[in-house]
Amino acid sequence: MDILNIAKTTALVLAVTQFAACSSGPPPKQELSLTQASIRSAEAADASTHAPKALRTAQQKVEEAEALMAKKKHDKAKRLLTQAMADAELAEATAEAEKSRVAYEELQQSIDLMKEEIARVQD
Amino acid sequence: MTKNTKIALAVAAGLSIAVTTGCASKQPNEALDSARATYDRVSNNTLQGEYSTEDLNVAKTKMDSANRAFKTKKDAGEVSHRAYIAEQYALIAEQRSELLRYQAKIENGNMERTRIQVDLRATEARTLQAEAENLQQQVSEREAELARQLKEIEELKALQATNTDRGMVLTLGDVLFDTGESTLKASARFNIERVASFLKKYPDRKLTIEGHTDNVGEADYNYNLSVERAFSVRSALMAQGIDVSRIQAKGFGEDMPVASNDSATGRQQNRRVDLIFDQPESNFSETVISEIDE
Repeated sequence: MDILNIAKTTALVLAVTQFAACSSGPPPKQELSLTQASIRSAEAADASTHAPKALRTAQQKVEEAEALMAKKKHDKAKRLLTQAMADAELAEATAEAEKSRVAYEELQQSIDLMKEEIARVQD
Repeated sequence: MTKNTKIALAVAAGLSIAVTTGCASKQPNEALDSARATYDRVSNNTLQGEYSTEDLNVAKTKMDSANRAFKTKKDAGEVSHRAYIAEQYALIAEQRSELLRYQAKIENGNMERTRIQVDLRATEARTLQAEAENLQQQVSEREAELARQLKEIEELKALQATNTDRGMVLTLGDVLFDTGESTLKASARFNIERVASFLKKYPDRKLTIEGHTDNVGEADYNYNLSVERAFSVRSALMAQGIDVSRIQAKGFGEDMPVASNDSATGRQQNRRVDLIFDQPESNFSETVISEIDE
């Protein structure tokens, strides 16, 4: 084996191992369906009203991930789906918190009204 | 070394450097800094009431993973990715804690609202009860007043007083006086006592005494006689203890006949002393009078 072959082999091995580290595993089909389910759950919780930005981000990332999967870039797609999942969960948590805040304020208003009513009746 | 060998080595080295540079970093990572700041804020907020331990634990695991990736010099993309995930889960923990706090507030609010509703109903019930008692009181007072006035009028009627436009009028005939005299006969005593007794029982009543004659004789004489007879009745009532301020006495002579002076009967009717019982001030008198008339 002359020096040329050693160099060729080294280059090949380096290239193959290092590309493999950044390259694709199996298509993240399960992650895709889980993320889509999370988005639907967030939508059901009125996230489009209370957390539109986080919901939109999640939806866009899923679209991008689908495009990447079509190009067999599965690892990058999986990473985006992981993020989209977190975005969707954040959208849902924000919507739930916001709805409970609104409910609390309405309750407080009705309590204030009743307190006024009591003050009026007692006069 | 041949030209080809040199090229091959250069390519291998180049690839190696390019790929290594692409996957590793020791530079500070903005996404990681942001995630750490958010995570610190959220985990410090646990002092402000309820918080979601489970979600904070998830956020901590993600944060640790991002920190580890940075320490072990993973590539910048991986560190940023894990930092992004860590920051999102910190925010999720924040929102879930917020939800728990509002749920606790809502629970307290519902209890407060129930308590206030009970208070409000109790207050309304008390107000209604007070109004009902007040109305009942007014009805009782009105009934008592009506009963009192009915009794008073019945008593006046028992005195042979009659109801006229001017009020209840009791006519004392000329039999109480001798002809041409103004001194009350002893037989008048019973009538005077009954009138005095009535006036004592109803101290609000005032009395007007009017003397009248027929047209026999001089008008001046008749006038004087009528005045004297009215005053005589007043004196008799004063002697029974009735205050002078409650009794007014006047004479009209022959000016106000109630019958024709052409007959003896008519003249006898005209010779009289009228006792007029003034109506006491009351809201109910008219009702009472009309009820009695019916």
